[in-house]
Amino acid sequence: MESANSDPVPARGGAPATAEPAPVVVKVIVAGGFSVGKTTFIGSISDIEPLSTEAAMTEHSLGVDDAGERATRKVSTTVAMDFGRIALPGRLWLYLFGTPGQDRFVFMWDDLARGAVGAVVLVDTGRLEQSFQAISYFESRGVPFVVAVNCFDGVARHGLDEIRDALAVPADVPVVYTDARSRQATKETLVRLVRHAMDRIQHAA
Amino acid sequence: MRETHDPGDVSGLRPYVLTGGRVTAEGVAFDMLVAVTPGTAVRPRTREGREVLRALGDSYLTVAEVAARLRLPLGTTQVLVADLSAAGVVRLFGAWSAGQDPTDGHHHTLALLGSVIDGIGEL
Repeated sequence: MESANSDPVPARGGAPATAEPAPVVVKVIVAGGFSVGKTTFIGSISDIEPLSTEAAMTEHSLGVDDAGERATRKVSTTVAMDFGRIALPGRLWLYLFGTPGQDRFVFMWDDLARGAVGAVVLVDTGRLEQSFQAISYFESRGVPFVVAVNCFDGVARHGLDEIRDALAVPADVPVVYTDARSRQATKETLVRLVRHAMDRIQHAA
Repeated sequence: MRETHDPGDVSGLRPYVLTGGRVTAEGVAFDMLVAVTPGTAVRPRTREGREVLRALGDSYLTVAEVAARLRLPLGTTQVLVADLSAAGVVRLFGAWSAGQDPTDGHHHTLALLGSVIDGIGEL
């Protein structure tokens, strides 16, 4: 490698990290409505400060016009996708990708959901309707998910059964309390999701 | 979540120019790992290409992380990475995908998910 390309921060032990085999990237989606605490949830456990990237969301409408020319109509918007990374033993890199839960962004979820372990749907009990779209999306695509009720003030104001009923989630989908600010609560929520994903595989067919 | 709909916003223009008008980068997913090809002597022609290499250094990064570090839109970064990959300057590694091993009863998937649970527990 050219010295001009070297990272200013030397790798530990002097050996380039890329001399090691590539880590295995495992991804989890963190979905939820506006300001429900997705970035806080990701940041509570991420090794790196949550990063953000602008994803241009373009809906193409392709057609052929009368002159035989290809005509393209585009509607563009950009969405900030927040994400974090957690290095686990065994060269596993767990990525948490946060995505807006509103229906107009559903078309970006196919990319996010492809190959994902599953999703955490963060819910604010005051705005349950913001999570309907995410829940129906993951349900329809067979993506394992847990509903995590973010208790901002540490006080659960609604019972979990009440929330499950209101959201109409199937009985096998875990509905849990979490606290997006708490590393421990975030860990427990993620473990719950991964266990649920394993259960789903084991009970399938 | 942020959205920009400002018609006067020209920030999207330059990325379009620097990718030469290409707006797709087939095969480069945002969750793929990128690493500089060991021993490569090729120097990217564009400044942005060189910035991608600088951001990578000698580590693995996902395409999304490269985009975030360079403050470039994801789509632009995907095109840049696709070009660097085609030139042999970087290598790409796909993310693990759940449920790819149905024929062996998902043993590999279950083992990997078990490792994720153990790993989170050790944090």
